[in-house]
Amino acid sequence: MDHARYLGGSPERTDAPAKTGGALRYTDDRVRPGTLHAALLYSPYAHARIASVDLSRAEAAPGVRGAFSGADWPDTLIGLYMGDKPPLARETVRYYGEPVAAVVADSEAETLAAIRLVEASFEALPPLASPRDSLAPGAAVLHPGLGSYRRIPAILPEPGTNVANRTRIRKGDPEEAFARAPVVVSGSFSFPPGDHAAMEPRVAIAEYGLDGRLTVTSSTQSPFGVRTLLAKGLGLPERRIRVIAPPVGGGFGGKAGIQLEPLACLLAMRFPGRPVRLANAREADMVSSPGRPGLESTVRIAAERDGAILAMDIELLFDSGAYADYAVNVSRAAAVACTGPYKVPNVKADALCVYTNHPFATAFRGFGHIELSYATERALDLLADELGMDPAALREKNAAQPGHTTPTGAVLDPNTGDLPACIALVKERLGWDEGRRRLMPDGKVRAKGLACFWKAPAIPTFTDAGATLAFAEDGSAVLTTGVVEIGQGCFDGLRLIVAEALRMDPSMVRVEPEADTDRSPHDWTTAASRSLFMAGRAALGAAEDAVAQLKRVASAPLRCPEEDLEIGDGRIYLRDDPAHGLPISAVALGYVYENGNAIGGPIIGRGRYIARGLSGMDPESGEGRPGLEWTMGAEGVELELDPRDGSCRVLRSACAMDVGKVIHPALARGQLVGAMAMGIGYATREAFSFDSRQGVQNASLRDYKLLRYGEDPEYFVDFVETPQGDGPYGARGLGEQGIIGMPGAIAQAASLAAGVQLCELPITPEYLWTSMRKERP
Amino acid sequence: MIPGDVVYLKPESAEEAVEAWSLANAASAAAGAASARGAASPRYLAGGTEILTTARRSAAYAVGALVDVKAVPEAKAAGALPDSLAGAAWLGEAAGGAPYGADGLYFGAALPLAELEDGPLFPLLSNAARGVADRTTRNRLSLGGNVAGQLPYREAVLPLLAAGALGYSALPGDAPAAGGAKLRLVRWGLRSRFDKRLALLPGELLLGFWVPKAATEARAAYVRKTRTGPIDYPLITLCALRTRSGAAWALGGAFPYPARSDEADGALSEALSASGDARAGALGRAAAALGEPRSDQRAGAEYRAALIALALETVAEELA
Repeated sequence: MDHARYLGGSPERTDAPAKTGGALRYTDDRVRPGTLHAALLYSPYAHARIASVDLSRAEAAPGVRGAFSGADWPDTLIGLYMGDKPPLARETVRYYGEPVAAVVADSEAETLAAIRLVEASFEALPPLASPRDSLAPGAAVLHPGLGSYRRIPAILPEPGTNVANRTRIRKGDPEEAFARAPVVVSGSFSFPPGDHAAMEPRVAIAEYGLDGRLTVTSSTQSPFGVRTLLAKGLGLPERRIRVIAPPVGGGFGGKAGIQLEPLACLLAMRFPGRPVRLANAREADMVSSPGRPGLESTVRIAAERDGAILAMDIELLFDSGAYADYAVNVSRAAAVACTGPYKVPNVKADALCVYTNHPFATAFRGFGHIELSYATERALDLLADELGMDPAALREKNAAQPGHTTPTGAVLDPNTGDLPACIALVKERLGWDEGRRRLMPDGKVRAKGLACFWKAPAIPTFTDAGATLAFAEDGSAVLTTGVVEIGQGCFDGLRLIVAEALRMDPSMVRVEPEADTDRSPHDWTTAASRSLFMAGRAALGAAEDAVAQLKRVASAPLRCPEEDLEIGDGRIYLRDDPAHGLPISAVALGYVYENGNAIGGPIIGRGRYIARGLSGMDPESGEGRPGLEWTMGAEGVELELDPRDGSCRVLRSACAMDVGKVIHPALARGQLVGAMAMGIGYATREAFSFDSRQGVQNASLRDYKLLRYGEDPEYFVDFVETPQGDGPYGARGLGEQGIIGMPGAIAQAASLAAGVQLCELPITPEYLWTSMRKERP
Repeated sequence: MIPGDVVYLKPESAEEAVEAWSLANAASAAAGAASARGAASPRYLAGGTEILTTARRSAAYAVGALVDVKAVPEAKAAGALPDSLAGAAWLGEAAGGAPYGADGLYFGAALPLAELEDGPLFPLLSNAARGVADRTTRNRLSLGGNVAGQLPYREAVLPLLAAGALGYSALPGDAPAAGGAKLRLVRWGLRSRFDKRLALLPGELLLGFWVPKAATEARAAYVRKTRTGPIDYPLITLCALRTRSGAAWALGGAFPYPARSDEADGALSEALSASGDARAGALGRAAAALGEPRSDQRAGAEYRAALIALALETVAEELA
């Protein structure tokens, strides 16, 4: 490969002016005149029998076209991997915020006024407040129909219990390893569920056309996934469904599944020819639509005295809330990666997705890896403590490397990133060897922590991406993919990949900003940090295909063999005589001879990609190769604790990640810094708090706090580049990974500062203060 | 969105405002008699943040008419007491003599907290204002709305309580229909009308507060603690001033209301002139005088109590 011309440059994002100027039109900015508006009534109970729903007063209100309850769709079940969710609750409500009734009216004001007239009464039932509650003998079974739900084979529910999925890992002989190990540590760790808190609340606008076609415009990360799941849930063939995905104001996994679309469609089907808009207010977006799972976990580690890990025994209980949604696969993905990026020859792990009466959980940035990572990294810290070993040295000693096997027995190939190099970079940034704990003159304590992470996309074995490349009269190129712009900036990465492949200035390349299942090539989902990798591969294919076509057409007027032609700087020319050539603009839409004769026609490059060599997992042992490429790294923090009141602030944070190849440095750094900030929020504040009846107490941004500008620490970001052989120009995914290690690193540093091992999240000043008091009364 | 129609009125004087409120109230009472939902009282509007967010969330919070007071001159004034208020009568007992020289500073109720935050007139009030919400929100939040709102925190009232401020308000006149005055301008001692909340009469329009100059210039201490980041409701906010007799202080966040008491002021004053165990004992009594702090989703009572104790130590050091 020639020296890269455009990769590694950081041109400004093409969508920056529209976004920062407030001019970009998101889904809810596209409401057409004549649209009907829907509003929902949400359950005030976490668990209750629905005694009655009286719609009569709402139906009689001005402007109302219809009012609906669960009884209107008595058999419909919606789901992702498993169809377990009615569009409106029937007979029981299973979480606080579950939609119970819907009203459709001519205007938003009328529908909001009318929904307040729906009279629903409930008989409260005792709620299940945690996975362990739900697994206790005699616990109420929240889904008696679990055995009969439609599901994909990779998900393994246990009917008659609250287990929506159990993924087992059995590698080596952990029992023997624990029996002979000189050192064994054990710890239990937990945290409650929370929300994504994306800037754009979810919205879906559905229209059932008079031609019998359903069109949905939605704030979704997965237009093709929504099309498939709507087809399954509503019993319509895919050809009768169109899903349009405008740019999304933040996804973080929360828009990767199916959310408001099914109900919006069911409502729209009652009013053919009229679009129906179903939009979440912020509060509903936080609890009624899915958030992220909580966790209860116990981890045991067996090790040699020198720190070499012999075995791990891991129990991960994911709090899925009322419905399985993406959480069943989150638990499976966590099992696949359960040990973290370490060489662990013997593993026993059970990852369970457990129903509770909490708001239900879906994908969240990191997809099970923050959760497993918090548990295993905390357990490693207990081991380091027990051994009197530096926690970074313990991780270096056990770092996973090419030739080692993952928990599912897959061999890490030569594309595997260089974890020791990442650890070394983070240590250097934090001045690790100058000491990890310091008492300051004002009585505060500064401490450092370091954690490692890995993640492979948790995807179907046949995950795909398609791309087409077409040209305009000026010779500029436009790439069309099925990727959704969710703020991640993937399109600017794809733009550079195409520019590089065409050796064309990036300003001459445009990426179509909207995905549309009627027009875009198929693309699995914009999730799992796979878009740059997979759509990037497809884009490369499309560019190569287009170049071959351009050369074929140009070879006639240039009177030369195609293979003598080269492309670059917007021209096609003879490799050995660059002055002899044509501008792409003269060829891309067909070449016209002086006498008017024309040849060629519009060039359309086609590219495609499908995941390579993936396999399912053995249900008993987990054996298989479900993970495509592993992105590894290390991150660390230095924080300052005031032992008097427990107040704590992250001062510096560092992340080093092996990304294969940096395509767009500014965007790559942006993704990592954003993920680190989100990780700080996750570790220190973001979580639901529940009252005794499992109602959510902080379902608004007044009460649910995110990290704010001004609270950020200093961020250090370093990239290591061990090429991913099958990635575009050697790149691998990096969108999620920066969040994964932060809770572990922060917990380690805070534990060191406080002098007590912390086992829960969020690490608030009160939690620190209380823990310190318990330790030293 | 607030479903339902809202009547919006923007008077340009206190007299018009009180009259607008009375007319709207009479109209809504008449309409309420004919409706199953009953009457929705008119509300005075300044920043509107609490009205908007509450009405959006709660069907029980009815909004009929809004009387915007941002154009009322007395509600916008800052610095000197507006001439129109010079003759205001005492509502109830006159708050008494000696502590209130003629010299003082006035803060209109419709002033945005952001303006108070930037102003140099009363540093403790600037601090308390700066603690509330974020800057963008403070551009809307008003002093009067913060003091008289429904939220339990109401931090802007703390420095006013500590300073022994006077309040000014306008009341509907006794018999305007019979040719009497349409309006009564009154003043009152804030402490005397503030027991957990400011008790306003129906239709009473809060115009502003007057703070003795001595209090605005006194040595002050301010401590605010939140659950995590700075932009959050307080677990505790403590505002204290050095006074001639010792200290005066008020505490927010710890209870579902802002709190102060003479006994608590007395104990803190004692602590200022004591040391060692005596001082610790006096600080303990100061905290105890206001009662047991609350437990809620943000923090437990024990942690709040610890924060109060630490804050009182800081305050005692700063004021001593």
